[in-house]
Amino acid sequence: MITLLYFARLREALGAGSEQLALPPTVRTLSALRLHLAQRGGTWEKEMAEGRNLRAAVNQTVATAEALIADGDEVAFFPPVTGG
Amino acid sequence: MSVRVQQEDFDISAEIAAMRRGNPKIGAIASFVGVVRDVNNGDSVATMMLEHYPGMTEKSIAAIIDQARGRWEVLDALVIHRVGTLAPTDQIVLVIVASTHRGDAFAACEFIMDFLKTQAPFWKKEITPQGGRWVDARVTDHKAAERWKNNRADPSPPAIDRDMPENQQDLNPALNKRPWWQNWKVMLPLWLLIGALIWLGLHLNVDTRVIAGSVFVVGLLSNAFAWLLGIIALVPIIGPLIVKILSVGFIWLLNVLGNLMSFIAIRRGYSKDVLTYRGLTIALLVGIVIGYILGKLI
Repeated sequence: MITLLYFARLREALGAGSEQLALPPTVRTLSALRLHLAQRGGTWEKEMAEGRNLRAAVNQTVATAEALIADGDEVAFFPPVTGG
Repeated sequence: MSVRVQQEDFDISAEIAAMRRGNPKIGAIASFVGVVRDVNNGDSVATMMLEHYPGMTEKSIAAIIDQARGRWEVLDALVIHRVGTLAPTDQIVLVIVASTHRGDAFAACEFIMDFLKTQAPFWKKEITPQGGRWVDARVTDHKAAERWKNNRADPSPPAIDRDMPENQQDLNPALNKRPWWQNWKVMLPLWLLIGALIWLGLHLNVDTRVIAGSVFVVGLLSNAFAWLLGIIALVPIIGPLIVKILSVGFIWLLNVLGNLMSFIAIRRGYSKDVLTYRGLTIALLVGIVIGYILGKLI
């Protein structure tokens, strides 16, 4: 199982802030996970589409699309940050 | 070093006082306070909602502070970022950096703020009368963070001499860049003095060669000729022409004239005198070059 977190506009669009997901054996990287989530269709397909400007973090550290994901990880998806 | 994410407001003077307490090494403190603005893209903002990623927020800001510590001397640093509902004129973010000297404090404070803007997981949502709207990330914020990438020592801000006491450093080095000899307040009296001395010399029947030589040496050493050329150059049309003839070919013109005179003199049988005076000319030219170099150095 991995913990998935969604923030800000993405959280509102998906209607969920977090979820537990049993990691499919084929999903090893961040980009594969994003694709897997997009395959849920509907809003998920739209929000997780490749063209959408999304950032991600693995275990609370900003990660690139090639970052590896393992069981027990905390993975977050969010729009570009706008603090300060 | 500390990072706080909180809903409550903060008091900058209390935070600075707490940082200064018991740390006599601190010589400079730079701070930044971000405030919620009333106007953003035309609509009036009623309130602002700030969301963050608990855990990662603190970690990412701590990492930014660590980076700053690797670049500059940072004795202490504090970042407070508020979350939740904020109204226009509310304080939203505070950065305080303490260092030995101001250069490091300023740079580190700006660096931390620039990276906080682009890396720390905060998201702003404006609640306007028309409804809620998530704030878009700005390109300018990313450019601000980008400019720190290449220069390790100083990005655009001027380098500041760390060994100099704060109060002895020039506040604005650009103001003092002009060499003293370009200042007419110095040069005009100098030329008046030279003129007066020439007049006095002529009056007392001093050898004209001595007067001319002295004026020449003084003029070169004090850069008075360079200044005079600059003044002549200010005369419209004819000025720059005169300067061109005087400056570019001056030494060469003298040399060519000297060669011509020597040629005629040798033809007429004054070879011994020519040798003597050519020797003197070379001595004079060497003197001019040395005078010029000294004038540039002084």
